[in-house]
Amino acid sequence: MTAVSVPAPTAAGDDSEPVQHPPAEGEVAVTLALVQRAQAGDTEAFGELYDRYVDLVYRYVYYRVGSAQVAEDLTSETFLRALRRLGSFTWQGRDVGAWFVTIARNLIADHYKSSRYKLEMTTDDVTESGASLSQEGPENAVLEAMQNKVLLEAVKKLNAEQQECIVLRFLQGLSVAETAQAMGKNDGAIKALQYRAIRSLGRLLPDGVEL
Amino acid sequence: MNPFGTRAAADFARALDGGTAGTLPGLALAARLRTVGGSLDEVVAPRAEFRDALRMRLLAVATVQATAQTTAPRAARASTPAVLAAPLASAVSWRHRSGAVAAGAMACVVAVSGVAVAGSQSLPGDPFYDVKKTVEAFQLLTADGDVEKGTQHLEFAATRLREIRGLTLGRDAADAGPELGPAAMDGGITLRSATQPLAGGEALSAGVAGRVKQTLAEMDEQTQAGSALLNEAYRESRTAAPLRVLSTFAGRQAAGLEQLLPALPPRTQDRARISLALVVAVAQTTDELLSTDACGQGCDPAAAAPTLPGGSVTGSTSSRTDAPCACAAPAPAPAPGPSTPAEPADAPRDEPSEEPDPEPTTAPAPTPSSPAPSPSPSPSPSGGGLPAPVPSLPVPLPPLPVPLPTLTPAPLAPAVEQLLPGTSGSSVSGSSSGSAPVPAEPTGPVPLPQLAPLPPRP
Repeated sequence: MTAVSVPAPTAAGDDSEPVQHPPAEGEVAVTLALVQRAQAGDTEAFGELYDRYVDLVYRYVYYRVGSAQVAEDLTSETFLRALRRLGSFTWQGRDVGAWFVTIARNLIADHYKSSRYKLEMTTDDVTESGASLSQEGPENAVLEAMQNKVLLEAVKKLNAEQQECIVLRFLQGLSVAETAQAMGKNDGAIKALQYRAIRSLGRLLPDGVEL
Repeated sequence: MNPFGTRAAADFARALDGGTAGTLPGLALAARLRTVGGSLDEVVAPRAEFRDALRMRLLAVATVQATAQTTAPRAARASTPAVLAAPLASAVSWRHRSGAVAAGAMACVVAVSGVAVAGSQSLPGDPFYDVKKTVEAFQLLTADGDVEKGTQHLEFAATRLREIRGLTLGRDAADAGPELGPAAMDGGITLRSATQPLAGGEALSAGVAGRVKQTLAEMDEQTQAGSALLNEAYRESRTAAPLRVLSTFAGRQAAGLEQLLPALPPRTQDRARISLALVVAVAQTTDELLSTDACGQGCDPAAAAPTLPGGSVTGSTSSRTDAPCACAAPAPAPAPGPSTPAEPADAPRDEPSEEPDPEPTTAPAPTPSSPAPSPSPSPSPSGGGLPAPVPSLPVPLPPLPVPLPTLTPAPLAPAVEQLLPGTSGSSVSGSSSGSAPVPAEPTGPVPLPQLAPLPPRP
């Protein structure tokens, strides 16, 4: 499962985190210190932030736009924008990763509005490669690859919020709390959203794909 | 959301994470998604090439932005018009000799003329900085005559100083600086320095320090090139206007450097002091020449050429302590007609022995002068590098380390050499910029910001 450096609880479903920001601790404190150093002009600190979050941002963008090229472009733009706005970042109790994801989310929204957006599915390469990683036999692998492709295409048909929730919560394996941070919502809202998203996705899938 | 939906959602959430048997609709799908996500993790990842390239680019941007973010506000306060703090103890004032107003006006016009070009705001290390340099080379090519070319060199030197200010203090500060205002033209320019050194120095990375040093070296080259040409123009034209341009420039540069010095990265401050000494020497030499008005109508053409310390790019060098007047030809004819404004050679320069001035000098210079009447390279008493303090001057220069680094392009990295548009007079070497104004991106060997090989921090 995707490992993400977000607030301490690794057990999924921790829904007791209050909305008010408790003092930063653990991993959050580390990343917060990096942000502060970066704001003070320590360029290497920003490099470390980048190292920690580039994969997360890239995957988030990729799953939502379905194209490696676009994912690279938007990932670049995300970090450049984060760098420009570093001075105005103030910690609001969310993990720093959520801040990057927020920037990426806005860029994706702009992307969809712009003429660069293409509707064709470009997940072929991914699903086929994914199939090769499967431990199962060849027939199952092919079947699984096909199903993966169908699945991911269906995800892209969801509305933006549901799509994002599915990507973060399931494809990237964030917890409810982590997803809540990334999306700027509270846990209850995420629970409701994931429920609706799963149901929408189920309706989008042809019968028989869902096992 | 109705209570029923909320409860269903809560049940679903609990089931998801509680790992109960997949009886609720959607649980299987969720599990499937998780599996897919996990298996694709290795595949859905940024290319290593892309990831590394983006990292380098971000660090380059961060380097420049870091300085702007940390020091720009303070720089803005410090550079508000003309009011800097207590004057430097060894403040030196330069005064313009009251010459012809017209000459002064012409000098102003020539000195401040400039052409807005693409990338004109870029700093060393920026993506379009090389475009800026290319345009400068082009401007040199199209400049006609010693005065124009010399002035152009001085403008470039001033630009280098602005860039250093921008590198150090942030982009907003690049165009700010000591406001010399109208007082500079008719009165004196008084040096002041900020009492509070701007604390941005510590925050700067090694990359910026290196760029500052390079830019300082380039600034000195431009200063020397411009000074040589303007001195030549002075000798040939026998008008003081070129010297006024030079004097104005030198005074402004010195003031700017003086103000900036405390804010520079500590490792660059020694180098900056060398640059400061250079412009101070230029200013003093030029003012001496202006005060003696040696190249007016009656000057002694046999006198040695006034030149810059350390040798000028055009090769005519001698100690700056030499005789002030060296008008065009070495032909000995002393000025016909009214003699000679050469008489107030009370400056601490002595006339060469070959041709006596129409008027005897009143104060022989305490320092030896080079004997040659013609401009020939001769070792200055202070050594080949930079001027040593001259006892006759009212203000002792800061003691300079001996030996001094030469100010020729030798220490420059090859990349920078390729960028330099050939500072010697009219020749532009090493770039094809003359043919193509403002190319979008130079295609030559000029390295675009591959700033990855930043020098390791000491």
